[in-house]
Amino acid sequence: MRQPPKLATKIFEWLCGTAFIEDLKGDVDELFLHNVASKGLLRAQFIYWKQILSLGFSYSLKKRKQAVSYSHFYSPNRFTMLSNYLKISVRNLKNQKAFTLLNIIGLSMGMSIAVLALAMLVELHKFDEFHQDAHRIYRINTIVEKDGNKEIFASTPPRLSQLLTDQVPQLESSVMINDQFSAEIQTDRSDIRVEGYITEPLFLETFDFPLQAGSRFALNEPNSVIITAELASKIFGETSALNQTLPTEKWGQLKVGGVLATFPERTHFMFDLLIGPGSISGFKDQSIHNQWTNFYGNYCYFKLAEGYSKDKFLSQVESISAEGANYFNEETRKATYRIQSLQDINPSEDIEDETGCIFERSGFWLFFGISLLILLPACFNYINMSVARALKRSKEIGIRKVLGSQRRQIIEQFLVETTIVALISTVLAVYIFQLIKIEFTSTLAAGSALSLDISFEMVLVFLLFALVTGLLTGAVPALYFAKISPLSALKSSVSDGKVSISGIRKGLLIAQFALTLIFMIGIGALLQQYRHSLTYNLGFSKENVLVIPFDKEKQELFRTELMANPDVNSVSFSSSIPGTNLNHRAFAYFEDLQDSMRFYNVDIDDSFIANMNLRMKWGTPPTGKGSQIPEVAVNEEFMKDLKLINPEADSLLVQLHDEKVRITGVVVNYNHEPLNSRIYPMMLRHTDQAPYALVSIASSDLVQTMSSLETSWDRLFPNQTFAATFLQDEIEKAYDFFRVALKIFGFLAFLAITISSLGLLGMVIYATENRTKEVAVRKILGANKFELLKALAGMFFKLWAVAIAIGIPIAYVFYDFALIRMYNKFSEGVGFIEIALSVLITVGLGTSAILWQTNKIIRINPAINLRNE
Amino acid sequence: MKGFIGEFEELVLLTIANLSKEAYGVAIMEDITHRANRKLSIGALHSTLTRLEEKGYITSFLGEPTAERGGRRKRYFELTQSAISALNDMKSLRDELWANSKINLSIQ
Repeated sequence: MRQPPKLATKIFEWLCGTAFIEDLKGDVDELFLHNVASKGLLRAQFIYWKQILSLGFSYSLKKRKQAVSYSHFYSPNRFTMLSNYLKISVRNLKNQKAFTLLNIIGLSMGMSIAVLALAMLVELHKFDEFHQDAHRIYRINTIVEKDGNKEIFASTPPRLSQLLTDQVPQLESSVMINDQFSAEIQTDRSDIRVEGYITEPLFLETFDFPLQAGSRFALNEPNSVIITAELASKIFGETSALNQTLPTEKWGQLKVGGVLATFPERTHFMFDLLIGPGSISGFKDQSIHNQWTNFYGNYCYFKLAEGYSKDKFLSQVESISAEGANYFNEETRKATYRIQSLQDINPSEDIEDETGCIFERSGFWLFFGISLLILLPACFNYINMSVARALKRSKEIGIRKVLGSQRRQIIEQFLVETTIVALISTVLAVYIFQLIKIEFTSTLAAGSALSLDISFEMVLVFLLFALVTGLLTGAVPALYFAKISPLSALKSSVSDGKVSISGIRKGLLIAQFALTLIFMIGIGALLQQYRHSLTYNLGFSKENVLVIPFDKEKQELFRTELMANPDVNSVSFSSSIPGTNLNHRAFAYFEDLQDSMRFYNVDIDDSFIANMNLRMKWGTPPTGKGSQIPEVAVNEEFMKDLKLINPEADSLLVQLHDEKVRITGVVVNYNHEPLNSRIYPMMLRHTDQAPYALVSIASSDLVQTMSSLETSWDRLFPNQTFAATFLQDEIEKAYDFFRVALKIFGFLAFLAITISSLGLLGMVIYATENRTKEVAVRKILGANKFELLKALAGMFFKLWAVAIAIGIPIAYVFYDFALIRMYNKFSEGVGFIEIALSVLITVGLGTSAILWQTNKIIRINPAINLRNE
Repeated sequence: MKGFIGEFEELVLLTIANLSKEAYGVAIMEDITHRANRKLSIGALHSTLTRLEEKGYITSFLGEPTAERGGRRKRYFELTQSAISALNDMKSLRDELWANSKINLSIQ
């Protein structure tokens, strides 16, 4: 058979669509046969392909296609059609009030978290935009490589920035910032802790932080600072702060040489005050070695001249930084540099030693993922419900099609409808977002820098989001309806009488139920863990113990004073409140070995171990009396590590960095730190000066005891306020992150449950409404309530069962893993009770939605139902 | 006058006139290929035919089914009156220019 290539013919037909091409095809076929006879099959086929392509994209075909696609009735004015779509959509939405309402509420809840994430993204991209020439400001990151590990630091060696400033004329300005300044400002009421930048006047020239009083050159004068408007009003209130003094213990009297005006919060800089390098003794006199390798907390910002490119600057940096290579080599490290634009700082990648307020990208994506997890079920619901409504709308679609509606027009109709719903939902979602944003920012570490006020850009992003959501969600029902043949649509055979909830829709419902379950179990597990952490036996007695911070110089005086009180059982002192985080790290060394081991140091008095009911495994508690060598007690973990490093040693002497100590006792491991931390090696060291008094009281009248304690306090420390708290409250405070997690989980679970309940309700309404007649007939034939319920709602209960079977194992594995990772061995894992309770609550909510609707249908008098049609 | 006729369009019109009752796609294409010795693609030819039809120089009709083309019909083309007058205008313009030529255009 001498046939032209089939593929080419297919492609041609596909290109032509419905256009009339009989004659064209005849022409190419005829030519093909000629060519086969004269030039051979292969060549003929080649020519055929060429001809097909030339015809396929020719003007004549385009013209023919236009001729078939435009009828005389077709209006070229797109707006006529659009207004028609809008009108029909609005009528349809009004007609289906219950569905519309369910959809809008569900979608708006689903969108609220996504809106929050988008608002945050928009805001982060505007960070530090308010500085003039922000696009020309860069900073240098240091990439340090050691043993094959690469770490990026936001900070820069001070020596490098000095060399760059001196040698590169194209730098319009270069600012060095050191963020290691902190001080306690003493005021009448209490000390205010402030953090600041050590920098030069150029800082205020390069960045737009306007001064409301004073001069930026105040930074050149010793002991003179520039403070922010917030700090000024906090300390001085209404009175002018300029030229006042700030007393500090560490830095002496600091004079206020300038006050900044309030500036937009959207900056990554976070400081309360600025101070010149001249005020800090020994700030600059470091060896060159240290100026290269010791760059922690030292940042350099450069404003490049117009037209001086980032790449040229980078090559300059690379050549100038050659000097430092040797110094890094001495420490077997290797440093390279890169340029980071001011506007790329937020949201940032994972960078070490950051300054100010930084939002990491990875956390951000996680947040986006969660928002999608909430949004998707809402979209599924919409799709589910619209497709389920096919029965009701099939006549409309059928008539439209018969009247000549094209596929595209049906699709557009549905897309317009969904977009309207999505737009309304977005407005509601933005409202919800306004309600939750303050709660949200308060749970973030750097949240105070986010104002999340609605801006023009945000509105644009929200609109775009609404459109995208609308179009994507609408696509499924639109394509579904466009596919229906007009004949079957008019005959109502689309979903012929039967309540067909297809496999996919069942799958979606199950996924939703399972997701809801997982969130609910999460709440249950967190609540249980919170309770568990608070009641866990930490290994020391925490009941009825007061924690009183005091001036540690007067430890023994304070003890005598306290013991004189009849309600006080015992008093002990410690440098750290047991049950809270430890931060005093120290190292022990071994003489012959290079090795060292790390441990936590806690200073205690003689009675701490006895009073806190710590159990001794061996030996006696350390005392301050006796031998020259200080005595310490250690925990079991310490001994374990000690043996690991130095198994031979039988001496109880331990070399610390400046002295030797002797171990006199070993205490049984106890949780000095919160349960999310392992038990680390710990050394309890005797001291006469510990800043916390732990007072065990036995009181029948707490108010009276407290006031008598306060009286004795006032005798000893007349100028200081008495601040006693219960140890249990302090421990509870260490678990505050639980409350944050509970709040977040609670809200997410609330959204997930509402959305899935709404979706369920929609499906039940649909399933029951289409079966009113069936129910009536069944009832007349004598079915009882239970049988009817089984017939109507049986499927949903089956779906629940599947969802439970899927959701529980996932939730169990997920939380058990997450919790055990967080809690090490102190957690009991996820228990049966919390899972059972969570499941019960979720299923209960879902069941009530099902029963509510089915009951409504079942209760109707069958006569009325039957008369309806 | 209804617009200008291009050189290729003139060639196609005259070929249709030559082929008279047998003027359909393949025939026109082969005639032009042989006579003018130029290669042309079927797409270009049909585009030109479509344009000429739009301009009102030719009309077309479908013929009887032919066994040779698998039962498909041929589309035949005919010149309209305006095509004939346009061709005439073109020819007289040309004749005039030839006659008035100041240089001897005849080939020795």
